[in-house]
Amino acid sequence: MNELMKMHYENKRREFLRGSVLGLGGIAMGSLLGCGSKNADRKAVQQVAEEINKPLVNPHFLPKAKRVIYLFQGGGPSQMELFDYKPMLYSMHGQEIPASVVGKNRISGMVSNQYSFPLAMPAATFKQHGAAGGYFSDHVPHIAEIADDICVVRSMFTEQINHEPAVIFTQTGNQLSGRPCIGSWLSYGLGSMNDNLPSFIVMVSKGGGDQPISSAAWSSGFLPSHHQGVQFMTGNEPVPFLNNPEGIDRMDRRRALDFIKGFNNIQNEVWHDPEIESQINQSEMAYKMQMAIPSITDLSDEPQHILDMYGPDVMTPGTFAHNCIMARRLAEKDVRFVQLYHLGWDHHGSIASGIKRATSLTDQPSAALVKDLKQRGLLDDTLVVWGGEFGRTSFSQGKLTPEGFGRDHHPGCYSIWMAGGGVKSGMVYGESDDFAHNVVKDKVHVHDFQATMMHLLGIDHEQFIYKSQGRRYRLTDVSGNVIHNLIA
Amino acid sequence: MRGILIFFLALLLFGCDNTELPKEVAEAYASLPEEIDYNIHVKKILSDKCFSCHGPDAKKQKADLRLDIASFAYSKVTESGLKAIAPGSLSKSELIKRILSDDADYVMPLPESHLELSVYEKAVLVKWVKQGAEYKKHWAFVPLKSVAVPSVENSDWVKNEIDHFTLDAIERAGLQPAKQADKETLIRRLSFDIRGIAPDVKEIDAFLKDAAPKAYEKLVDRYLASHHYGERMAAYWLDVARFADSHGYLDDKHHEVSPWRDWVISAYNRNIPFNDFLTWQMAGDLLPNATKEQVLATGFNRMHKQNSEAGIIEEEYRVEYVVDRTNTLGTAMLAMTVGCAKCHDHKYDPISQKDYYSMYAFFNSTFEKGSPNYGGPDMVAGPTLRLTSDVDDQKIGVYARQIAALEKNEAIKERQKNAALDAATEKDIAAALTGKLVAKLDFDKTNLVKDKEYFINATGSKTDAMVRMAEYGQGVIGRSLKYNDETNISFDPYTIAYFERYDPFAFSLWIKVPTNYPLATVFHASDPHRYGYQGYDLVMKENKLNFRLNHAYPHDAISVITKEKLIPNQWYHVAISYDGSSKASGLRIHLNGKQAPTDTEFDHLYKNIRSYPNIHKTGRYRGLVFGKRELDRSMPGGEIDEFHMFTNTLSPAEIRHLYGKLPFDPKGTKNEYDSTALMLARKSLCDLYDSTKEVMVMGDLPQARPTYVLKRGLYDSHGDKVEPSTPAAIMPFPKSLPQNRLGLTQWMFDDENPLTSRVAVNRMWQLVFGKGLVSTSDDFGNQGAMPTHPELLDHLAVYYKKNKWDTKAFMKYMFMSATYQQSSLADPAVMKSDPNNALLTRNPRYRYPAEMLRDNALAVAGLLSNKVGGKSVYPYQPEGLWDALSDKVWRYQYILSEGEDLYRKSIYTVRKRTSVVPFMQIFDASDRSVCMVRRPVSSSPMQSLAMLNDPQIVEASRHVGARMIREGGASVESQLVFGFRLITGRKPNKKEAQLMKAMYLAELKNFEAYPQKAEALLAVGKSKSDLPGIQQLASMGNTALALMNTDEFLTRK
Amino acid sequence: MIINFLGHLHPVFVHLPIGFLALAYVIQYFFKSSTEKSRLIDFVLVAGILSSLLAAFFGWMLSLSGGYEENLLDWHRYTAIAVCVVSIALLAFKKYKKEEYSKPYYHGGFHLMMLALLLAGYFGGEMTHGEGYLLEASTDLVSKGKAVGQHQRMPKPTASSTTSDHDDITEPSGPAALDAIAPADAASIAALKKINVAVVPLATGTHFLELNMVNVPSFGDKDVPLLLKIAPQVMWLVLADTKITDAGLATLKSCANITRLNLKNTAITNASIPLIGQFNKLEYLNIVGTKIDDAGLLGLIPSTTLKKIFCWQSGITNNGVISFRKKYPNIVIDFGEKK
Repeated sequence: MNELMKMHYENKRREFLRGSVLGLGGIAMGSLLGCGSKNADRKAVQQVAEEINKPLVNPHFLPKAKRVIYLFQGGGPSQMELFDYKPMLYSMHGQEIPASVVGKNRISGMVSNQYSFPLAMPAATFKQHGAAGGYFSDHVPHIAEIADDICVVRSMFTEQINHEPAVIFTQTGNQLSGRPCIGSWLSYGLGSMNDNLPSFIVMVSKGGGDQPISSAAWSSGFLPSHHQGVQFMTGNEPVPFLNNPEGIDRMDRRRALDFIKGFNNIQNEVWHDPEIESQINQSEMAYKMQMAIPSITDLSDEPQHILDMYGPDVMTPGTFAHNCIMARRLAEKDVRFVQLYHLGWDHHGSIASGIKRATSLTDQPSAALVKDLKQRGLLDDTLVVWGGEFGRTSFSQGKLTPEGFGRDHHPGCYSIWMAGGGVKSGMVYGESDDFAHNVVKDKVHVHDFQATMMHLLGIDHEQFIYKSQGRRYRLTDVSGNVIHNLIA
Repeated sequence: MRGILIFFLALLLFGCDNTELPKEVAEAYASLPEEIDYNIHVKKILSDKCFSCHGPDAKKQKADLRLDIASFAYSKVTESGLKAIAPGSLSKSELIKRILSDDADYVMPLPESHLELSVYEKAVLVKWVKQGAEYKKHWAFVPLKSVAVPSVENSDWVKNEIDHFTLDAIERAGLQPAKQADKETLIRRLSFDIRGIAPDVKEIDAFLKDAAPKAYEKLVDRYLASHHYGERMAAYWLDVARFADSHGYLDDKHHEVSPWRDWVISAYNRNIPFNDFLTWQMAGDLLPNATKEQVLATGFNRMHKQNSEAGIIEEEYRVEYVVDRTNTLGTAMLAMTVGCAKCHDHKYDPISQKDYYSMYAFFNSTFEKGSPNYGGPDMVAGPTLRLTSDVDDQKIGVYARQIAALEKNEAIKERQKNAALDAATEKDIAAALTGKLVAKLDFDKTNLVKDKEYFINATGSKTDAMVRMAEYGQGVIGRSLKYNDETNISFDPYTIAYFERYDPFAFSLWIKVPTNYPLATVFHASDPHRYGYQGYDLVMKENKLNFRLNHAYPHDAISVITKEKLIPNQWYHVAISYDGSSKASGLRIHLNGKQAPTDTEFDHLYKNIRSYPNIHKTGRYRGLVFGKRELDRSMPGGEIDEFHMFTNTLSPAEIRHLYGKLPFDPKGTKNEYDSTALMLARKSLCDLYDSTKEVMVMGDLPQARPTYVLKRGLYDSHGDKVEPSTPAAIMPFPKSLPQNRLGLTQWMFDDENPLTSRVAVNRMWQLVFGKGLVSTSDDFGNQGAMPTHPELLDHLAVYYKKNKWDTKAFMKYMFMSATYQQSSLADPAVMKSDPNNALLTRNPRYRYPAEMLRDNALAVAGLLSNKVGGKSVYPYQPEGLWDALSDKVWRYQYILSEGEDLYRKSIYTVRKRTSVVPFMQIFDASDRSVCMVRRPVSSSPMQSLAMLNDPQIVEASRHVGARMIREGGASVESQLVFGFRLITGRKPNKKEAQLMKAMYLAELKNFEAYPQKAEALLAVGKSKSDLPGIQQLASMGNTALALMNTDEFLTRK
Repeated sequence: MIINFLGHLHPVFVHLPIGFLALAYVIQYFFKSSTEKSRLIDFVLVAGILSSLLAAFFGWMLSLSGGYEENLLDWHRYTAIAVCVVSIALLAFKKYKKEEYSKPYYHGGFHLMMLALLLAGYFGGEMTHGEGYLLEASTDLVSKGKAVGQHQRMPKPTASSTTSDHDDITEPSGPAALDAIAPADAASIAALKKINVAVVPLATGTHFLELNMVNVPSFGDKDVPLLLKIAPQVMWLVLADTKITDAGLATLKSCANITRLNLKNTAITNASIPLIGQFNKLEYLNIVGTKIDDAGLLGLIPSTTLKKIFCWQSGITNNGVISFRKKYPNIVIDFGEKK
């Protein structure tokens, strides 16, 4: 008799016995229970267990990735000039974009004063690279070289058309700031693997003339505020107040901390307050952090041939290349989430020179980071993501003049790529229409991308919930499906 | 046989439940309180685990069952034939069967909802249904009525009614309150709770010596009377009002709103009754003859974030601002999470989407733009209030009277002139026209200067108009200028046509339009749209001619629109004449020689219309331009001809002359303007207005904007129309009240309103006891916490109302209670049975908020400035934070304040939304993007780094060291004791004294070995110290710094 | 409500007819015949009949509340009715045909009644106690039932397909099923944490661990004993940049479940290769920056599960890699060669 049937009868027997054996007894019991007396002696105030939010501590299931490096290209990199080769745009250069293609897509206020929307041919030439035969533009030669290690997704789409809401949407799953970003969710959910370093670090680099980025993009929202992204600044103090003031060296600080612990312990004999213990631990972690962070930012132990991989400005702090090598060093030290922002892709005008400038700063370092991780065996469980908050329009913004044109924001279709951390390598996923304006195959919404990232880290995005002001919040809000075909 | 029969009958009659409970539920059942109360025990479970599918949200109700209304739950017959809830009977209630079943496709809540009922919760529901499933009205919606003060056994512990309630709860739980705190603790606690800083050592000694029975009360009164009280209360209120020095969003432009902050501080210090305090902030501008202060107070509703990113859709963000005001009303005044009902009915509370948009309607008629104007200090997002001083007001009165008199005889002169011109010969009219002509373009020919084309200015005044992408058509005389997308004809800026609003001027031109333009620009001499169209322009709306003079369109502008539409493909002669009066009445538009009837869109122009260069204006002022303006549509296909510009008004005769295409000599002699006295008077009035500061306030449109339910919260998908009203579940909106914000405040302070007073007193309780009687002070709804002392909350709410909302009296009422004066140390037994102090068996301990930590560090160091009010200041902050945000040319520089401003209280430090000062952010200060009534408390290594290495703390510790040496007496021991008292407010015990001495000596040994370390350390911070012994000073400073990093400096006790 | 209640009384009364009728049968065949005997049988039969009618009536009520398996119920019903009919007939026959005692009908009736009784009892038992309950000696029913409840919490299969127009929905490559393993010894974990080793459970509901020495560069052979007690639980072991040597690694052969081994920049040499071969669940091996050379590599007999080897900056050269790839084409070996 198979298990299930046995289980079923097991229930039936219990039900039967309960019903019968107590039948007679039940009568006797009934009168005793009766309707309870109404004496209103109010017991101590009800202690209904307030459903406090408990961090996950461990993933729901075996993770494929342990850490994430997100190379966020702020401003909206144009998919037509990078990874989404569209021959039709060359042939139809200058012609109006067909209304059927535009459909219900939302256009931004920047072009609301335009009467004509002429298609603009990509300011790039394309070649196929890697086994999957994906097309890469001549602006990204180094990324083209690692085509077999990355998975290009050409079918991303979102609903936000302005920078700030779009960035906040990609990071927090909702376009209004106030909710935690991905890094904060992971720092809260899975904690840190290396206590000497913050579990969520942010670095910003600028490409010139670009849109500002605000700390709302790495805010911890309603989560406890120590899950906020810690921004590494350029200069000798990456983290606010990291360095001891002049005249106090590491030994003096150790002595002071021991005295402070002494005072705190005496006070704790009176108060027995766990808060005091936690203050003592926090100071010890701060002391260790003062050692650990400089060991990351000091690149002197890097061999020259490694530095050369990352390109010329690897040693200049505040550049994308410098942040990339720092990201690799942080990954080696098991920091959970490293968030890079490179601003400079907002090419409303003269996109040809804009793309050249942006890729000259980001192409080589991005590829170098993937290669460097791979050769150290780190790429296997480190998820690298490269992408922006939306794409750009296939029609030109402003006059289609010979010396160059710009493209406006376009949420309907854009491209990103991912590498390592359990993602299939050497693959091109999803397709857009002939104008890179709408996604036609294997659509990936921002929430799907977030759900997939969570899945790679061993988290079921539907069960990773935080209750705030009575509502259960998720990173993927109320939607998002894991894209299993991206997972190796 | 008869016996058996009776036996069976008894059996049938007695039918009683035999639904047997699973073992673990039965156990939990036994430990439940005798009587289950719907509000205390049941509501929270139903709301959290059932209402999302069976609650007030009509669209989402499954099996059209709702459990939040008694009648519905009792009557609803479920598919199994049983009633959803059969009061008193378990086996007949479908609910009980569902929650106790372990069959995955039958159990409730459904497994895929990831919601689960705990054993305790199942037991509560079972017992509740058994006891009759009695529903009760939500506790927070029950109107207030006075509450009987419960009697207590230990009555001599009690000091006022508050203690009756707290002691009653403690005695019921079989516990006893903590003993009274010692005087040192009391004065420190009072000083922080009222003033936000620690008491000085002299104050402590004076208080210790004052043995008078009323010593404590005197101290309370003295502190409540100090200006610190206003600053401490205002610091909290700025979180509620989401006050910040910048707009937020992408560009995060700064705005000057410190006058509003000054008002909040002075309102608290003058102890303005709370109902006035709120009424002025919500509807001050609607009060009958509202004073300047009352209008200034309405700035509360303008503190939300504003988005000035180019290219946004304005209506989308205007809607966002109204949503923010509605949510703030919910969180701050009613403690209801109304924001959840923006897209759908509230899932837990009885607030429908229609209710939400009825409250939204109160704020939907604000006269504002979705993208605020910016472009310099004089550009403030309208509507605004001009902060004129009383002296200014007098001057304005004088000027106004002067101008009125001059205008009267100017009118007479004008009439005579016109009559003369009517009778005058063509020659005289031509001469008059020649006298005031300053520019004439006939577009017939251009000349080439250094390969640039120019239209020649026929007046020969060498101010020709540069030509770009011009096309031509068949004009009225000769060629006409034809516009295409890129046409751009412009006079050099600041040379000609640079009129101010007191200059009279006039234009004459011919115009022909090919089609009906929804919106088109004919010519403009103004900034682009984002900078408020500063200047003047002639535009067309639905082919109606609209001439505007703008300082900041639309709130500071004149706008006049012709009633008549231009018929396409017909030449019209247009003449515009303006007399420099800054009034719409001074502006005439003539069509084909006759004055056209017009509508006045706006008629309040106060400030300059001349545009001045500013770093924030990336789109430059380009002078008088025909055609393209940034982000605006020009007039493609339209044609103009024979353009004339005059530096005086045009009389009807002169306009008829022009309409008749009669000749006049463009090059003739120019005659002087003949009403300089009037112009000078107007100029001085304008200059005065230009010099006054403006601040954002509320102001409604003449007619209210219609409000619709927004389907799924989308700004442009209108559902059915709604009127301003409030959720009936809280309190229906009385018909007698006006349907505007003033009516709303009267509804809030109506005797029947159950929430306003409870929410206010709960928040003040939170200020003093760390946690409100309702811990979720921003949510009194079904998902919020229950009040730990419901009767006490109602008593306080009634007390506050009865005392005419006297805030200082209410605060004092709390301070005078024995509950407040308890020590924060209770014996272990009490701590074990009341772990999170829900019964207030001792005074709560919690870390001070960020503002108090910094202010107190400056206070003990003697650095704190006592200046009240004024502009925001820039304290120490790591370099480069604001530069890292963006490298736009207009980005804001962080310029460190000088001297006293470095040491102002934290309420005055700058709060930039996209980059909060690190010290404040690390200690949980909010970025003020939304209304926040309780801050989280976190602990992280960054906090230790801040307290050890932030220059302002290190500098403060040095000054504490200096005070210890100067005021601590002769011996090192006495100086250390003085330091300990300064930092912790109490005397050190023996162990602490020894430890301090050991540290001091260790530091001294270190600095004597390395004197250069002492020098370096003493150089931290901008202030200098003049004490000789640098090693002693450095050692004392380091000891002080160590003490400032211990629990007793950081934690309120 | 009454039906439901009465139904519940069936089990109480069903045992009475069994008792009475069986008694009647016993008296009939095991007592000396006497007048009392037959009156006794009458009385017992009457009681049996009465109680069997009652039982039948309640049984009918119970069947109305549903939930019983159809054909078993019918069998039980008919045999029960048979019991009543036969016993009534028996009594009637005994009462009115009293003297002739025509044996065959009387005794036949009795045996028939007993047979019907047994059958009704059998089917009743089958229906309520589970098929084969009476026959199969299911002593271990209780213990196996317990095991079923404690099975590994398999993850809820998340919705795999993304959009409707997605054609080749492949089976979601869910994570590898983790067979259950006992919890790791708490003392060892505490000791390891004391020296700053990160001990991280791999997923909820499993006791497999990751040990990460990222913060313990000084970790050496002397510290390895701390691991031994929890060796079976170790699945991911990161010894990168530590002082571990071949000797220390050798004592770790009890880490049978290891799948990821990271020995980057350690002093491990070819001597450890045989040990590495013994890890029969190993999937990922990182010997970057070690002194292992071609000979070591080629000496490795990798387990079938091994998928990736990283040996950049180690002693291994290009031709070592080429010949290894020839031997094991499906193992990805990366020694950082330029494309």
